[in-house]
Amino acid sequence: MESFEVRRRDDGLISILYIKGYLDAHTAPKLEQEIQNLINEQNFKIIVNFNELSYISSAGLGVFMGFIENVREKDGDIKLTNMNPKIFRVFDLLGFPTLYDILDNENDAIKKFS
Amino acid sequence: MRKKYRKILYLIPFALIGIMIFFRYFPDTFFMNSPRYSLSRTEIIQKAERFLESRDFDIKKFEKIMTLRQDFAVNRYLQKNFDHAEVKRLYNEDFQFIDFWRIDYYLDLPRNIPQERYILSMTPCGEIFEFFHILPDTAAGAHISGEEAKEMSELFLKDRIRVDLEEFNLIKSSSRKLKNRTDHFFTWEERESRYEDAKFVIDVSVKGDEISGYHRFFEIPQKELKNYQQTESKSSFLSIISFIMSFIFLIFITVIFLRKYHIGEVGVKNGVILLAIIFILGIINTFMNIEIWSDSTSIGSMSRSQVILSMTFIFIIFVYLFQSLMAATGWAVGESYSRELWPEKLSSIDGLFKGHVFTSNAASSIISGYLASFILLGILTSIAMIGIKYFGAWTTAAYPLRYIDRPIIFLLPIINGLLVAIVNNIIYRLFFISILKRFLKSTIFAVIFSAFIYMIQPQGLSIFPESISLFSSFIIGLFMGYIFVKYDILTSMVTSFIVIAVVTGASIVYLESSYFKAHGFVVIGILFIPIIIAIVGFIRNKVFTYMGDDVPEHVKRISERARMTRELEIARRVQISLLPKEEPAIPGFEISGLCIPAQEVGGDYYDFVSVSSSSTGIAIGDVSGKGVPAAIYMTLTKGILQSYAEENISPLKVLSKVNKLMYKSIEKDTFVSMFYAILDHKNKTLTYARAGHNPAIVFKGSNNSCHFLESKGIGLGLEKGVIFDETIKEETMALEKGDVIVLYTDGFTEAMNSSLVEYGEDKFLKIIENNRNLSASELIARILEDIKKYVKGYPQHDDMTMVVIKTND
Repeated sequence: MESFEVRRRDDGLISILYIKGYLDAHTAPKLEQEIQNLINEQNFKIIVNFNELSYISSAGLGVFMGFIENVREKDGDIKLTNMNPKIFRVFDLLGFPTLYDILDNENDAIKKFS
Repeated sequence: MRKKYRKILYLIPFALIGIMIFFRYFPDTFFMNSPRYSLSRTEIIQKAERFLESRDFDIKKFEKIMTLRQDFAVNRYLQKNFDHAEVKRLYNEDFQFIDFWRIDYYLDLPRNIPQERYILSMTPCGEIFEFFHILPDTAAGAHISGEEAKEMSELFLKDRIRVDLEEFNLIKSSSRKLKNRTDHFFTWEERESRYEDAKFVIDVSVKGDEISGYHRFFEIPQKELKNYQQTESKSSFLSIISFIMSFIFLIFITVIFLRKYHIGEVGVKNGVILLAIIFILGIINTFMNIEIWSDSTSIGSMSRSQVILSMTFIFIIFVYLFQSLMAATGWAVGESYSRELWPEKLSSIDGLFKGHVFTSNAASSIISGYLASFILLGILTSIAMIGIKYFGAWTTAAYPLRYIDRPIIFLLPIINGLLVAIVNNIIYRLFFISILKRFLKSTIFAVIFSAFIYMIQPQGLSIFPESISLFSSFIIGLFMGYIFVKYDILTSMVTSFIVIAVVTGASIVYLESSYFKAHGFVVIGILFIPIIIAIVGFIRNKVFTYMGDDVPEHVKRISERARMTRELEIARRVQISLLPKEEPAIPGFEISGLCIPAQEVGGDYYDFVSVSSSSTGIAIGDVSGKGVPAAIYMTLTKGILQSYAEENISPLKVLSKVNKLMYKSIEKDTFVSMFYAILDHKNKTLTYARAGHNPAIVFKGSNNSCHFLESKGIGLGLEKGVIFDETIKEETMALEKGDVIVLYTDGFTEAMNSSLVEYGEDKFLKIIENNRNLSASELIARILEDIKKYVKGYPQHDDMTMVVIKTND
């Protein structure tokens, strides 16, 4: 079973999730849990940093789909940053850049929130 | 409810035939109805003691042990040289000693030191044909001359034994002078042999001035005896094989048991109950037999009673504990597999475990068990008869009587019957047949194979040569396997039990003495108990099934798993039937498609739509995720696309409509990528739109160049339609001779080998380039072959789908 980890860092009202490893149908629930926790704590300004992610499947993509509307309704957003070219291509082919804010690095995302 | 009894009805005629064959021929075939057995045990002992008294032997300080024995060599010799009817006559005339009572008077001392002992051998009607007074060499006695001793012996033979010495020659006489006495030994032999080459011989021994020993026996020529020894070694070879097999079996079954235990699919409780039952039966069996089993064993300087004690311990621990562990584990594993395959095999015995004895399931099992046992008794009798008549087989005389020298005669056939019935049916039927059927997928082979395995264990009819005995074991194995498969485990247990109890217990009624007859009737009486239970169960007419919470956890888990497997298999077939059944036949073009789900069902698909008489829609799609949820969405997608696609020649418009409806219908976290193209037959163009799917690959025939069809577009179901419609673009390309277009899902490029390295886009392009001159279906086959070689058996983790369009002119 491939591994997957989520690490969280809070910067004021913004929460950044650092994801590492393989995000697929097996490991997606872990990420879901983290985002759900943030929502329960009323943190709607979320950044997901893909720097250490090696692989994402369609189930992984679906995780963001599940929360994005809810978060945006509360004036927040889920911004995706630091993707490597391969991971970015997966998002790009599906047209995610038109629906999501995908940025090169974390700081850009933090700036955009303020 | 009474329906299940119909299955039993057809057994009745066969059972009647079987039991008639048994009654008519069994006693005769096995020499049971012999008038020899005219004395009861007590009468035999009384005769022995009167004899010993007459020889001034003080039996008071001695223990005694009484066993029933056979003279195998003589038995074989007679059956070999005379026909069955003749042998029967001989057993009642000159050869009454063919099976005999051996009474051994001994002191409770270690067997390896010299001690006084008295041995008597008597025919079942009380004639003493052997006695031996064993004295230590140091015992005092007289010193008489050889001549005196000879006269004493001759007088003894004439007066006491009533031998006509005219018919005998003295062939040997010897003396042995000891410190405290002199012993003399004499041997007489018949002048003429009346039975083939063998003669009757009489040995007499004199110790001091007393006749200390007499033995009248039938001497078989040496070379004959050598032949007999050969067959003995063959059967011990078989015993070694069966021992090794039991050992392997034990390891094998422990491994499976632990695995199944780990996933919670074994019922430990019932296994423990069985273990206790078998162990207790084994302990009783040991206590009843141990004296006789220990009789020939000597352990160093242990006294007899110490030997008996140690043997008891050894048997209980090493034989019966071992056997009960094997049977309990065999039960746990066999039950687990049976519940998956054919849970109805266990329903009547489940009831018994829960204490429900008078159920209609148990009733029908018991009745069919009885009927089957009658059939088997008939079969076994027939095999013995045919073997003896046509194949020169022989039996040991009165082998069914093996238990009449035990303390409580009627108990052992019952105990032994229960032990064998329970253990054998658990191991050879419940375990072996279920596990073999599971892996060989054929019931017939499972039964045949289990019969072979059963055959190798030493049991079956006591009939020789070995080959016929093995054959009878094989037939028993086949028949019992059939009964198990046709009915259930309780039926086969009842069948085995009845056969053993009848052959070794009820058959005692044929003996002459009313003492033995009575014991035989007790066995028959006990055999009526299950019939009474069956009748009560039949009248009550209550079926046992597990109700709701009552079902043991492990049973629930197994049936659930079995059900899921069946459902998925059905789903797989349904999904395959939803794929295009034919490839579109468009003049000038070849189109071929392939879809391989990663699990039983998948979320990929491809489809062909007849848009108009001169255009064909080609779709390929990938639902996010895999397995059952993805498969359900895939079906929805196909349906929606098909409805919008007909009569609509714009891929963009079609996908736009599909997106709106998909967004409303599917879950938030699900989306579908799709590539939809319409091929115009006449104008030879391909108009396409890409909703988030992998771009299609194009190899141009004219200049061997390769490019991608990567028009803009986001996936279906991600957004309600505003952004989708803004983004999606439609493009058209002209098709020329030699053009190859490949639509695919990422299951191909992301196929992984065991180092978790993906096949990759480069390899994918390469393999298409190298093979683009093949036909569309050949190209797909070639690509698939290459991927299979690459992954080297590593499990497929994503659905793989592909459509190839080839332009031929």
